[in-house]
Amino acid sequence: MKRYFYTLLIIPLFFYTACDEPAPTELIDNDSFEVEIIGKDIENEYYTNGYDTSGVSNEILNYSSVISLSGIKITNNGRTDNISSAQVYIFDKSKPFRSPINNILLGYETIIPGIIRFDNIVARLSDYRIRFREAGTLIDTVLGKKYELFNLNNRPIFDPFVFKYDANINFNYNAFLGGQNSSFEINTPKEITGTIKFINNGNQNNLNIEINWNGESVNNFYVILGGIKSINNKAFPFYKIKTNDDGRLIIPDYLLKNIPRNKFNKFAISLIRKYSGVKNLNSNELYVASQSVHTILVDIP
Amino acid sequence: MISLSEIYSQSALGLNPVNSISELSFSSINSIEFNPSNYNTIKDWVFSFTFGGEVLSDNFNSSLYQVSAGKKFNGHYLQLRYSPGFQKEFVIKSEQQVIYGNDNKSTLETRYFYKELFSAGYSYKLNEKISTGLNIKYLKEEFYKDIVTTIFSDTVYFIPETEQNIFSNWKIDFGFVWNLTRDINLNICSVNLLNIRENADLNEYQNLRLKHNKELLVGVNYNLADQFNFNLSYETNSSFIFGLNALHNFGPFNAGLSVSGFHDKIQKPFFAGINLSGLIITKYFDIALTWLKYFSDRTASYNLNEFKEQGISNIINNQFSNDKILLNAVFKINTLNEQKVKFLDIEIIKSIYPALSDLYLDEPFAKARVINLTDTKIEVKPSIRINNFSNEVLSSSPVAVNAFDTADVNYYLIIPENYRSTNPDLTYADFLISASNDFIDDEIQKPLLINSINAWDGKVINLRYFIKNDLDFSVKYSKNILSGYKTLLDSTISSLLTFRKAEIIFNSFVKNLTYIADPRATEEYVQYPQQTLELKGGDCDDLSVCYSSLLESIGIETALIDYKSDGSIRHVSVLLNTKLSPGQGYLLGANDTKYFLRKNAKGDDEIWIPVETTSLTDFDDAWSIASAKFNKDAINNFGLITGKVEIIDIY
Repeated sequence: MKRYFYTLLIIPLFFYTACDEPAPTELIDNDSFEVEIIGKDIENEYYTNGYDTSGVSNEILNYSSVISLSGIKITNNGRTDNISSAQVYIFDKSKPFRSPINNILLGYETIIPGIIRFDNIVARLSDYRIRFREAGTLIDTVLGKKYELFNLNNRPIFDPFVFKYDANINFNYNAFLGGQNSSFEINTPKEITGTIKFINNGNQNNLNIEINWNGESVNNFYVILGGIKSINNKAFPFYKIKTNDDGRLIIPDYLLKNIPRNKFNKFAISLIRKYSGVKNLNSNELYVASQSVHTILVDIP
Repeated sequence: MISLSEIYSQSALGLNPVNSISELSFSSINSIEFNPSNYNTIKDWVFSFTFGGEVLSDNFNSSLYQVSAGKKFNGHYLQLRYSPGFQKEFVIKSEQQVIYGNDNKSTLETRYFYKELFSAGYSYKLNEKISTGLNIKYLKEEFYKDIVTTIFSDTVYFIPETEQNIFSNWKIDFGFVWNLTRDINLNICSVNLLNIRENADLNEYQNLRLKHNKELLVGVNYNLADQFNFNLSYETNSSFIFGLNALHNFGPFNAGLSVSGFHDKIQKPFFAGINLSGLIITKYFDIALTWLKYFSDRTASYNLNEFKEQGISNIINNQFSNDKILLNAVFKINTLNEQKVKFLDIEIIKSIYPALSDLYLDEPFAKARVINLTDTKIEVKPSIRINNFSNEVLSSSPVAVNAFDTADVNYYLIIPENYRSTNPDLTYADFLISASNDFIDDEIQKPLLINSINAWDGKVINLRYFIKNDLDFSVKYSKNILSGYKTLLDSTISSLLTFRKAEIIFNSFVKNLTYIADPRATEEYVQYPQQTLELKGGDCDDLSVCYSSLLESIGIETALIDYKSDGSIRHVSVLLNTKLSPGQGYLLGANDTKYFLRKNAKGDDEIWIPVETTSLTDFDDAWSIASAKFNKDAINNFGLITGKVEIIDIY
């Protein structure tokens, strides 16, 4: 009887120690994204990534020249404003600009070597200004001139430049003093239009944001989630969320719950569909980007 | 006959290969899923385990699914189970990546665990037809989600965390089993009747919890033929399972196959899968190898949205489960003594007369009819215990009984030597029957009349017991008488010595005696020689017993002459062996009608003379009276031939 009993104990013990656990079943979640923090200091108003409503990113520091065309919609309180923007930066790489205390590269001084036209509209010159905060001090500096065209809501008071979606915009450069001219077409993406919806907006800890838009499966698509500061209405980016251009994204609660509600009163959610590339021009790397941007501002619940 | 019992297709598919609630079956241990009433045919202890794994492409992940123990006692059955393999894990590969800085990336993962850790079952057999019971399960649902928490301080940065939500559930179900006949039973059970669960605070997890819709399960098991069974179970959510089982007997074991198909409303196609088992069933253990096959393609990964829309209600059988190969083993240990033999009837065939002690050694006083309840030949041992009679249990000869056969068993008796009750005693006897040395299989009590020590059954042949019982007294008495006649005996020729002694003893014996007729007739009461001499009287039985005992005690061979008669009181007298040969008859006198020849063991004739003990005059008269009667009744009236006169030797 005892031997029988011990055998009964040993057999399942043997199996138990010789066993694995049942293998898990994998569930595929199509809601994929990659998130990074881009605004590392909320006291900064304008950081090196150059975030602002133009959607210009910090890649500009890596290239000799940058051409950026943007069709931007800003929706706030049910009203949508349309902005067409074209900017060109030609950097003098021999003249970098660094922050005085931490010596962080903030940009380069620019040069104006010729005349630039977009769709035959001559781009005017405007200050290339950067603002940043270091050691509690706000620094506002002009690093030179940039080429720019700007229009708001198609008003004649602004530049007669209109960003065309899903089309070609012609870029033309005429150099001063015998430099090489250049002209090419810049392809633009389809216009992006999004809506947002709060999920579980009764509970700050469980708040999710559902974003829907007209997906076009463009490779370079991302969402920038930022906030509008209560004190001065300035925008500040929290996260860059790279995801598929499939028309739907849910920003999970864990990214939202700790955003300080006492400093920010609105979310600024920018959907950015971008075409970009690098052109070699006269041995210089020219970064060309065109994007459709829809920024939606909503009160933080 | 095995039967495949209810398997809850959607809510409770058990991993038992052949689920049975009938008499001869793969033990329904580990039957909590499909047998909430816990009906069981286990006799004592039972242990089981299930080992196996899921089959997916070229992978086979084995695990110990469950270990169980069950115990039956007095109609109650209790079972406990630990089920480490009853779990379903989902891993959500979210492709949500977090960049911590310096291009240090991390992928967030979410895991859902559904586990049934422990369960317990209890059942009670209300009667031969109906059993009821319940089972209780303890389940755990664990949700682990990798997240990052953004810290807004001097700088903004991520820290990784794991969000953990663990919920416990208790689930209780009840059921009934009704055995309509040996071949048909019905069962009705609840599914998810009582759920005691922690509520999820977050809707996210509320929707992921195990579904627990309340259902009812109704099932029928039907033995189409011996060892061939059909079963069907239907659940009120439109799920059902049906099956066929067949066993064949190979002597020491049964072996067979079981096949069942099931349908539930979630899984596709209509018949979602099939359960095939090969079985071996023996007296001490059952083993089954099972293949659970789903008819739809099962993969290692599914869409998360599909899971969130449908959920699961059964941990081990759901639309995300994979084919399984299982080994089930059940060990049955019976520490109890099974009843192997049973009384059908007991008859007391002889009354107990303590005086007739030897009678009960040779002939049974009671007979019983018993039946062997087992499937093997057994030897049964009868014994008896009589209250106020003997302190011991008296055993009689064992008897072999074939499997499922009946036999007659005899009960013998040993009258205690010191039994001297002069009053009849109505007591009771415990008749016992055993198939083993340490267990009494059956016991019946019957009233028993023990007659007094002087009681007699009226058969003259049994007067021998009264004669032989008192020989110690008789020899002393006889020798005492003879010692007074030493001179006479010394002068008697040797051949007449026996005759002379008989004469002396008779003449001394009758001096103080009186003939007393027994008012209760001669059939009930006989005095022992000492009593007769002490009471100084008796009837013909008493006097014959006394005189015969006195002679036998000193070696004089005697016999009793039984004069049977029709209706009136019978008569007994004594015949004694003079040891004289026919040629010596003249020594007894010239009247040869007064003696009779009988052959001894060697075949030689010897002279016997009758003595009428009731004459109470002297030996000569007694001899003459007896001879005259003997001549008349035994010889002239052919009494010895017709049986109306019988000579009964004492030894």
